[in-house]
Amino acid sequence: MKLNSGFYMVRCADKATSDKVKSEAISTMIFLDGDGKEYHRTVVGTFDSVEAAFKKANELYAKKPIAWATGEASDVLSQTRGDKKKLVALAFLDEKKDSETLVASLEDRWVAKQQERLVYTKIAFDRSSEICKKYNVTSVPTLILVNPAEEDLKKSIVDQLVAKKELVSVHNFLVKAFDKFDKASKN
Amino acid sequence: MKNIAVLALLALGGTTAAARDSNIRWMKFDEALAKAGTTGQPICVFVSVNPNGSG
Repeated sequence: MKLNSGFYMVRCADKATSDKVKSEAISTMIFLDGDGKEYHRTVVGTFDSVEAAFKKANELYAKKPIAWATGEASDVLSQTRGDKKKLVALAFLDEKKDSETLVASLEDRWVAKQQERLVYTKIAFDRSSEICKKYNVTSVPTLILVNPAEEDLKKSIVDQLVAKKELVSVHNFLVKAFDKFDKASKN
Repeated sequence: MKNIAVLALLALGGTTAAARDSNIRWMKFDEALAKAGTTGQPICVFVSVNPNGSG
């Protein structure tokens, strides 16, 4: 497999592109993630250095497994209450394909950077359980983002994603949710 | 591997026939950004000429 095959390739030789990427030197390779944010930049000059640049770029922008919080959801919410920057993600899952797909999207390299601001809690879906009733969860998979600092249940729910979604939808859901959360935090 | 070699040639300042005939699909920056915004695939910008500075 070609090392560059997983990248959209752009050749910067004009002022407009140069300004956008703030290029400072010829023979620079600049890597940007799916949000257009730069995450790696290096000057190359040999075949080996080009190869190393692609390898490093792949290492830095990689899938990241979710570190699930342990304990009851209520305990996780209590423990996270003091962190004003984080949300608790209640993931109601089962053993089926749609749940696996959602988790895979959450671990995807594009979405994984959101993990820094999320405390993921896995909850086995059981519609008769207290927690499903509490959050009105009736289908699986469901992802609910909860502001742990908010005591009012209804107000604490920042947003929710129901059913399997495409990667771009999961990504956009999280971006919009944090945008909403951050705006509300400023007020 | 051919494509990487082409990049290396460009990196060394070459504009050889190999570079011109490469099968790398070069995109405009804005096109790459738009595509990345729907797939999450990363972008690699290769500065072959730098109008803002050296080169």
